[in-house]
Amino acid sequence: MLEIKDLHVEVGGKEILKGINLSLKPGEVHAVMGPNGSGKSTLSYTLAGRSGYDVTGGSVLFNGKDLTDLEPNERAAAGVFLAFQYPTEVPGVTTMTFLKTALNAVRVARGEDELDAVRFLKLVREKAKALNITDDMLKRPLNVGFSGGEKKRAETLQMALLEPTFAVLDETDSGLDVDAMRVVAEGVNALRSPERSMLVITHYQRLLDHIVPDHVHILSDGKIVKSGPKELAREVEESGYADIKSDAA
Amino acid sequence: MARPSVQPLEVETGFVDGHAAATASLPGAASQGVERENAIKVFAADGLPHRRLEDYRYFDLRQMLAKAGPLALTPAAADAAASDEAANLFAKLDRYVAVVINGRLDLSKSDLVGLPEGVAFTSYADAVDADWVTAAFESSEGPQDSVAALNLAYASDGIALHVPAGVTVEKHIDERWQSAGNASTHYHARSVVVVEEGASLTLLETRGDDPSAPVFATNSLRLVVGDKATLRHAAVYADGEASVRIAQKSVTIGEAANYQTLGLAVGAGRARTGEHVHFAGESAKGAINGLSLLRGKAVMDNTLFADHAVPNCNSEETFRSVLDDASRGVFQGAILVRKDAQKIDSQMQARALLLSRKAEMDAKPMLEIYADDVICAHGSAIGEPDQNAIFYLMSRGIDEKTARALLVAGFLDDVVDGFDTGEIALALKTLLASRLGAPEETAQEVAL
Repeated sequence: MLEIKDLHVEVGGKEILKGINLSLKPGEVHAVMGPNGSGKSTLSYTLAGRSGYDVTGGSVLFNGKDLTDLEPNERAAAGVFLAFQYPTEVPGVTTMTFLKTALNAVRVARGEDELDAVRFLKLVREKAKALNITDDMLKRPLNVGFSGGEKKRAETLQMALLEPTFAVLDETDSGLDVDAMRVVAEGVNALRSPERSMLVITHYQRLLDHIVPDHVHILSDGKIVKSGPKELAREVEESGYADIKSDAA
Repeated sequence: MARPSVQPLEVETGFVDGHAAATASLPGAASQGVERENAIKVFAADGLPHRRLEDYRYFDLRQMLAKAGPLALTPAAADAAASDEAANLFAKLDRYVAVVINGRLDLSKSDLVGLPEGVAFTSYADAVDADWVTAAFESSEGPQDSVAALNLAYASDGIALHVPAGVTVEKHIDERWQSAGNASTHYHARSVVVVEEGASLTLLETRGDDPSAPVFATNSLRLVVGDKATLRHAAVYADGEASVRIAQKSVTIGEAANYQTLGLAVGAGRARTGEHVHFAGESAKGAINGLSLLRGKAVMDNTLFADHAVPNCNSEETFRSVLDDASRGVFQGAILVRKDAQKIDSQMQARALLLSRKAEMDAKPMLEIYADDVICAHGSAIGEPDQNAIFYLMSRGIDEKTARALLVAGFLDDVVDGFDTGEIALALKTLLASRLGAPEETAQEVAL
């Protein structure tokens, strides 16, 4: 379903990703771990299509289509979702208006009908309830004044509504205490399905106790230096990234 | 105000020479005539304000009218041709309607049935000699510049609204100002609203012109908010492309009274609101907001003077502009805190989003503080829509154009939300969304 081949990415003229290869099958959850500066966030932004991230080589095939040719909104319609490490605050735009605009844009692009206000409200409330998101939060401007936990729950709600087939979770655990992380992880786990694959990007192993991956990859200096089963995450936790790097060298 | 040593413009001479003939049709007792005579003399001496005067630095009225010939005083009544969406903006609200055409209150088109007992709503012409009207104007601290003089000299009508002590006007009052006429015309309106002690009122105002009408209008609005009274005033300016309009507001806020205003400029013409707010009673609260959404060659100048004369007052001034094409926004805001006005909390902020390289924002916030125990802040920021936010919205499937429109609408809606959370906000936000092509918030979402 997702095939990253020899992906090279420059930011501001500096090469950050230096030939990434990664393959995800439907339903699989892969974790990408790596130290600060290894290129984790660059990978997630590149997959979502942020401007300023220049793909200088390689390809990202998603169900046979090259993602790098698509605008961010076209990628979303195709089924790609990025859960942001730091969700952007958007003053003046209520979460509800945003969710409805996004959902209907994606539905129309996928050839489905738009939801009217009544059907939309019913759907969003049902999904919000499962994530402990109140009506009050939905009425507030998007992410403005949300706590760390609220922001990540709002990201998870967006994912639940947009029903992507491939989701990138960028440091979803950052800024969360253990309890908040559990709520978010439960929300994410509820979205695991045989059709949906996920790329969980994280610095620490603790998130992977809650969202258990099928495969773990170690990213260092813009390359995947080691891949293995879920136990690899614990190995990193115990011995640190320095050892892995020297292994590779 | 010294007059520059230049030839008077044809339009200026026209105002002075035409006054004697016009004055016969202007309202009030003989004493009003004397005041008008004095006022036109002031105008004759000073002429139209120009950019060498600090107050009009970014709104050179003399230059704007330089090519205008003598203007004709508008006919007493014209069929209003205002077709703009703004004219029917508040149609869904349960409200009283006052229709003002070319500055004259037209009671035949108005619906003021059922106003609470004791509330007086008449034309300015009918009320001009009333004691409460005289008292309201005499207590005004607003600027006495040549525009004020011209307005007084030619004032033909306007509205006069008096809410007695303790009366709450539950339904909003919607003033719909329209101008019409195909000749170069001018009109000058004076309005006065007095909300006595403990009374409460929400005043809506929409202004729409016949888009083809080259109109020059001055509007003087005197607002008196009595002790413990509440006055909310929302105004939407949808001026026509050929219009030049000046509003001068003079507001006095009494003890523990609450004044909130939001001016929303979405017009195509050149407009200026000069607002003078006098915090006269302790613990008075004032929230003065101005929003501009401009394109083409539109100009909106918000010039504000907040005078804190007594302690413990709270004032917030929030101005935001979204400027496209070659439009221009102006904010000149001054906060004065007098010597004995301790414990003032005053926050002034002016922000602008420029959507085009030719758009211009001139911002000049000022603080003048003579008390030593106050919290006052001002800030100004001019920039472009946030790229991070655009990417965030796009990553959720929203196309770039809609994402930008959402962000820009949000920038303005943010201030609307601070003014009102109900049906007024919904009407204003719907107008903004339709102007911007942004998705609209539905009533169900608001009611949530």
